[in-house]
Amino acid sequence: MELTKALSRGIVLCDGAMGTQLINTGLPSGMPTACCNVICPDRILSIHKKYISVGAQAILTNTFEANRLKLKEHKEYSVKELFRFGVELARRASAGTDVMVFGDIGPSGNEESLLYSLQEGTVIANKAKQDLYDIYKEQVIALTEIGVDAILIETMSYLQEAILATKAAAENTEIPVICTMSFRTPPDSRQSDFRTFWGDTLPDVVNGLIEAGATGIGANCGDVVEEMPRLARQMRNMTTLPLVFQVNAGRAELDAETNQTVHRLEPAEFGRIISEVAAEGANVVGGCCGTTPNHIEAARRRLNR
Amino acid sequence: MTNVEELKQSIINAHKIREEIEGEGAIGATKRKVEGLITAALKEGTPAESVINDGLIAGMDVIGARFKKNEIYIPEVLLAARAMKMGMDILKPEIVNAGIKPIGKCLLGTVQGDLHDIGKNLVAMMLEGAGFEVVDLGVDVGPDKFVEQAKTQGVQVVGMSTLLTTTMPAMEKALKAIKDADVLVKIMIGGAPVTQNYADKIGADGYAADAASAVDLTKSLLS
Repeated sequence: MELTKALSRGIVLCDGAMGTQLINTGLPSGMPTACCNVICPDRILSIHKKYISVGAQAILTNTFEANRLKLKEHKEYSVKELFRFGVELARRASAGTDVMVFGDIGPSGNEESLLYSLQEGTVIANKAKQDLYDIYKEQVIALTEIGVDAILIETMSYLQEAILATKAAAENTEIPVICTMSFRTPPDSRQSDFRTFWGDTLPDVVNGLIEAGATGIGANCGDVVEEMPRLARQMRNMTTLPLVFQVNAGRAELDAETNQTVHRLEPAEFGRIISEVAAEGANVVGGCCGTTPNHIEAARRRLNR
Repeated sequence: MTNVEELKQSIINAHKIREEIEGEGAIGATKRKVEGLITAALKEGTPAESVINDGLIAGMDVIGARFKKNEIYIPEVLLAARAMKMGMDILKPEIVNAGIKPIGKCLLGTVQGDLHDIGKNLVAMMLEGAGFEVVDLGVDVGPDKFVEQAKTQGVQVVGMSTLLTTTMPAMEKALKAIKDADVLVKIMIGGAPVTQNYADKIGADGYAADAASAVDLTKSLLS
């Protein structure tokens, strides 16, 4: 289904976490999770299908951080290959359903380029910006070659990079481009405004992403789980664009006894937060790190009420 | 304002320099400004040590304190650290001539299985900004490499970083390997999922929540 059509019918529920699901069942360490698209495609397929079976209306391709910088140490994989496999797996899982496939893109993880890009107007800044742009363009083209229903650029911590990524997407595809950033509230209670981890303010984020050509904006991950409804309200007051919110299951912790990663937010609590985020004006909602099919099922039930 | 005081202010305000010198590239502008102030200070007879301590390091101290209080964010810190580094490069011959030693030497790395390094790089910059010599082993560093480098580099402190909960056990492994090898170093850890509790549990000498705290911690581990 087309995203605009789906949105006209109401709230769209996305899937939950892929990475933490993979990690919990054992993941080759030291490589981007997207390498699983080639190593163990059946596991990806089965996770996609689980989310669809509990009511997800959109699933994200397993392509987070599969960019050429992250693959520098893993030359046996190419960006194109990982994205092609990622899209094909999501398409296969959703075949015969109305479920949409969002092409997932994560941050470059390269602060050196970002730093150079701060140095307005110099040759080195222009080169750094072009390099970053090309990193994103490559991923966008890989996603659109086979075909996805929207591009979702997510977990961005720095507005300048998010803007470059959004531009690279908007200028190289006709499908909707969504960009969501991660927010924190400063620990100092005197400053209660939301900021990204790199310090960008909410108005700057909203205006910057819209100007860059985003057709949807929002928030995901970050350490403001309980505050996501308030964040959605503030964003809704600044724009009429579709808002996309993907909430994590709390801060990742290592269980001292078992050495397993745990996220403490229970499915029922997650469902409550998701319904509040939707009530505050978010149009697309879903799970981020640590969420499971149980979380998405709980959200489905709350949204159906 | 003395040249050294002005140097300190240029480090603190490195992110504003591009606004001051319209149309000039900020890297070039920062370098010219820092270079001019250092040259003038040395010409007046200010000892290189004072240029470093009262200018460059004093500037980074303010940056660290403001970062901790969320008054400034990562971009401002990165630009200040870069200005500081430019200053140190300019002063290199003076440092050698005067026999000025770093206040300590640290080994840093992201642990095995983890490729994230923005946090670790920030710690490296802040430590250098505080006058430490830093040996950066990069990402995906295994226990053997930590041990070998800790033995041969003559460092006093080893800092380990990870962004993922799944690679936290690799931190414990590397820490145990260093302790088992009887290398006389203090070990500090950090990263998004790491806590003081975890540091206590695995027997690390310290935990820091952010790059500025890592500098304070390193100093206290050495005192």
